[in-house]
Amino acid sequence: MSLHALETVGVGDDGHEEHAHQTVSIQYENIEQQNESYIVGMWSFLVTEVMFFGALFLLYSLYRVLYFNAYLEAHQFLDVKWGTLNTMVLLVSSWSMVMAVYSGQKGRRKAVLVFLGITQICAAAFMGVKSIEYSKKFGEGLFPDARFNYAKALTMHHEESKASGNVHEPPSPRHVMAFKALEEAEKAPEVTLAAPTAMATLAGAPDKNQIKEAVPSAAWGTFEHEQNKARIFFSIYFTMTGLHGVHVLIGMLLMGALMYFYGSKHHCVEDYIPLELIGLYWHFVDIVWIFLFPLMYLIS
Amino acid sequence: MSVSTVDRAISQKEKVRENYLNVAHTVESWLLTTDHKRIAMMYLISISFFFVLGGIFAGLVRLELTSPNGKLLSSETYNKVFSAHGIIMVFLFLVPVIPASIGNFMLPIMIGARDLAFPRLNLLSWYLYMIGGGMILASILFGGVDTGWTFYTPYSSIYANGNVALCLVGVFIAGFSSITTGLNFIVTVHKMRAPGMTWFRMPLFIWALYATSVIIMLGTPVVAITLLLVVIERTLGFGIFSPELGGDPVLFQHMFWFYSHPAVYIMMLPALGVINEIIAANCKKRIFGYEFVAFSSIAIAVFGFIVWGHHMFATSQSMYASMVFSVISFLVAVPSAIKVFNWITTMYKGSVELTSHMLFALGFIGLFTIGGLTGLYLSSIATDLHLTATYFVVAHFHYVMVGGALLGFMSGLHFWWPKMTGKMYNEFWGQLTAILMFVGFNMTFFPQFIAGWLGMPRRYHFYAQEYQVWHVASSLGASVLGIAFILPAIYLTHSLIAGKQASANPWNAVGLEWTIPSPPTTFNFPENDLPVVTWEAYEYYKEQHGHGHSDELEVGAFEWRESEEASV
Amino acid sequence: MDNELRLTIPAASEFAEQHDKLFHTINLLAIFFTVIVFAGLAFMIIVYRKGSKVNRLRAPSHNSWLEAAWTIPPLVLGLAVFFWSANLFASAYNPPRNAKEIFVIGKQWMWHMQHSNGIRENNELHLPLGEPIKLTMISQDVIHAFYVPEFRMQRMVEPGNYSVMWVTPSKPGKYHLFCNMYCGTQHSEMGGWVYVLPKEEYNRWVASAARPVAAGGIGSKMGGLSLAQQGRALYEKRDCASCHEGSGPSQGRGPSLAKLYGQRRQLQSGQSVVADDAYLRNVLYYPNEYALAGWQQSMPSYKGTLSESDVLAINAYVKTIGVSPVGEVGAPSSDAPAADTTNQQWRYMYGGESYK
Repeated sequence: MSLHALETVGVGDDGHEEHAHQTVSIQYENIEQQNESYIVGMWSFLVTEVMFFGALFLLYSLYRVLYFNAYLEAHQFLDVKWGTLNTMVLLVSSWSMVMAVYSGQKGRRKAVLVFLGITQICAAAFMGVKSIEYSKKFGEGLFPDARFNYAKALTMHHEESKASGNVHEPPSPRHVMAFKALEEAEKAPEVTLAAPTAMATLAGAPDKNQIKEAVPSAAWGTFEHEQNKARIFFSIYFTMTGLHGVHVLIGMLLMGALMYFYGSKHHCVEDYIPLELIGLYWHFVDIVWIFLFPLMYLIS
Repeated sequence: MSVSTVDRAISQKEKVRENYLNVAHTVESWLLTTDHKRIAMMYLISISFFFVLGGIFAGLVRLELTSPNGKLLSSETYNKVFSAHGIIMVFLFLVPVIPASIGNFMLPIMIGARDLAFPRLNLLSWYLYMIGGGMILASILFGGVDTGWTFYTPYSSIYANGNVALCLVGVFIAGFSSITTGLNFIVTVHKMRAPGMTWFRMPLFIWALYATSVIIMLGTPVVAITLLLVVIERTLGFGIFSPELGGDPVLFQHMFWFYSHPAVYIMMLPALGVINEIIAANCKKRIFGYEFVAFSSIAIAVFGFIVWGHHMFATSQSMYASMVFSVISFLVAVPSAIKVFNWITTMYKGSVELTSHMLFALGFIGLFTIGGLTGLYLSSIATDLHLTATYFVVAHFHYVMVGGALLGFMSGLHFWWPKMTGKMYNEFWGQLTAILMFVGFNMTFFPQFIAGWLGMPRRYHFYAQEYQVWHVASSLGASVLGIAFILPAIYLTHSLIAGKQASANPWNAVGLEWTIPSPPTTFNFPENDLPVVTWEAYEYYKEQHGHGHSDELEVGAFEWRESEEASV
Repeated sequence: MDNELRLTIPAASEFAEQHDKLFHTINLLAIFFTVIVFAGLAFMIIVYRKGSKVNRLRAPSHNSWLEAAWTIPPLVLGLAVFFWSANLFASAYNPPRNAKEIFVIGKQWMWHMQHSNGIRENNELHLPLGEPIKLTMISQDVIHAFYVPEFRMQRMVEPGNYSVMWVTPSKPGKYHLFCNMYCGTQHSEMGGWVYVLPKEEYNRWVASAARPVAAGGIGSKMGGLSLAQQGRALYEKRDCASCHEGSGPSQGRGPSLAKLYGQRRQLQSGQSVVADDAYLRNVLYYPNEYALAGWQQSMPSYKGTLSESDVLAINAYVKTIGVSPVGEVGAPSSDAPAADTTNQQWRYMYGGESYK
């Protein structure tokens, strides 16, 4: 192979030549070295990703210890049904990814396409479920920005469980407090929206002290702290699942590109290495969820 | 056989041969290049640009501080200026400087590879650096950032005005540029070494780059996510670190220093690696205790990860946690001492030549020694309670990071400049610069130790009059230092235009990089013709025995596998 | 202030005197090693410069004994310094029981001090000589740090969390007080003076400050009531007694607060906590989290109604309930005016006269 040819293949993705063999970029001695480099690179990248999510898991655990009760209460808002469904979906996608890589190694192009397709569908389903969950949270006022409204969420949650006949005992003092705060807040609607955050204060929104006076301070003061702890939980929940969601989206893009290349018999997918790399990445994304799911939805 | 290799290298030099610089001249050929050498040069230029910017901000700070109630800047502007100095210098200069420029250029050549494992990723890393740098620059120019480079919460997340979020996103992206570089280095060192280049035959610079890359891969993502959380808290109002939203502000400090203390070693280790190469080449001797020096790099990398709490002795951190962090901090002194003593011993029975890069290296050892020893005051908890966050700390980390990383960089730049550009610079000016820089540096920062011991707090715009004498002394030194930085800009640029052609091995050094022509060809080594390494690193023995003449220099038992092959 | 070259600052606390011994020992070590390194380098450069006629045969390339020789002594010396330092730190960490307590509130950009005898100062702190002082500190906004170089001591002042620092002033004088954690635009003007006064002078100062006077710099000292008395006024204004002392209609709804301070309390969550300053503050702000075992939790939160300095006053009073009587009180005192932070502040902080 001439140096020139190697260079074209190594650099460009638009190779129009038909190659009988797997292509080796110029910097590599042989295909084994190239493949091993890619695998080592991917594993190193995943180590970085582990540290990336690891920091967040650490944060989650620290606040869990600090705000144990608030965590317990807030995590009821996560719907275990949807979470379980998403876990199943991702497990299926993991399996189909394994099958896709296996088919790639055996050189079965069509099978690769089918299995990647299944993985894509699962990923899309996952994002769909996630968006349902997210929009529900938004509707309940559980998105932890300045409009975070835990009182509303607690009320709705309580009404719901009452309607479904789950709760017969009287509401807890915390619920009472929440109702009271909500009622008071409704008397002064602008106050509800501009829930007191330092951000709002900075932005010239109503002064924090004014808000305090509008809402009788004793009930609000207690509730604000309750709300802040729940807010931390939801901040971490949205950050972690959001970042995970971004990873899923990136995975879908990568798989889409891969399917396109397999579909068009592009030379860059003549060996299974790209497929294997994306497979590794996808398993990592799954594993993050496997940790997220019990930590967020299950343990109490 | 090895002699014929060198002959061939020299004969290649005679005619104007194709090299990585003249292979193409278009702008695209630079902006879309995947050649690690071209990317390294682009890094060199952009890093120098940011260094000049950071230097201007430093000059402003020093100028303002000549008066105890300086009127040149308002307090708000002063705070933005010192923050800009810190942010630019740490994230855009010190962290990438040696790995991304010299390391990027030399790593593949020194281990006998044609390029890094992932050339396109390497280019991406440069673009990420430029995007991150551009965002940081934009945030500083439009609105400014006044949080200091440490971005402590809740000040940064709630109280500070200015473009903190944009700046943090810039730092986040620049962090990914280091991650991609680190990943590339790790894979390259693991998988791309030339035949026969075993781990313990690698030059110590490569060991240092490898250790650095490991720290980058493990530490950077943590700070990246931490800063991202501050951005989210600031823009969306999520509660994480702000006590008003139920968060714990000291948690930010833990997460920040978990990266930012190792980051000091990201800056130092490559410099320490460079110094090994220079000492060996200028003493014509193998580095004394090669294995000890190599493992001391790894030890520093490991210890570096478990000392972050020594930045928080004055917080409400528990007493026992402080003690553990303190004792480990003392342990870091040991591998550092090992390095310094091994370098000194390397000179024993060597043939010490005081070239400009050797002078820079000696200056480095001096400053690193002072910087390291003053670290003892700060790892000792009782004295840290007095000195932390005073000018003592400012002086200490400038000695370590600037005196260390910057002089290491200057040393390496002067050492490899002929290889990188193919031109020789003026040796006299190089030596003068090295001396000026060492003197100017000490004049600038030694007074700050005294001011700190007298209780001068850092980040102060106004200060008590009794500290003025030390501030004036420091500013005087800074002007000497400023001249020392202007000089290389002149004579190195001059060398590009009018410098002598460099031979393949102007310093009579050993190492794979000196066996190929200066500047190297695009793929470093002839096609299908990677070197086979059969010798240990730093084999200078023949020169030592006294009959060394530059052309007869034994560069090691060197073999080309198919030496008949024509070069590119 | 004079511009003469100074290389030392007074050591004005017992810790500072111990600190200086350690500091100068590390100085000696550092100088010793610096000299070794520089002398070694100079020797090698001169003797083995290129072209010098010296024996270069059989140059060693490694020697494990030599490596041990420069590994073990620094390690041992380092550990020795560590033990010394850690020991000193441990002695400076927990305040003695008899320490005189002063409360410090940091905010952008001033220091506010509350003495237990009711004197409040802004940016100034008067301390008696030779008496252990415990500073209990909290921030209202960002992180600050309370730093007095002559005490060789600083401590970060965090929002939402009391931090404690203690000193025994050992030398009379007027010393700088700095904020040493960057806290925003006027960070360098957040400070003032610490006065260490001999016993009699201190007593005279207390007597003069007992009336509201504006003296010294720009601080104004609110006087007339002790901190506990101010706390009692607030306590009565908020009707705390109606639940906690059983005199009102809600009699018996809350536990008695007599001799509460320092007791161990059993919470509903099963935890048991010591009723220290942080506990007293948190109960006022977040009562739900500290529901006592055996009590129906119905106390409202006072976050937003009581400022950090009000909380300090109330706590000072609560500590006295059932322990020592507090005199009758009148109206609660208002907050001290905010600090002037224009150039006047600079002159006050840095242009003042040094203590003679």
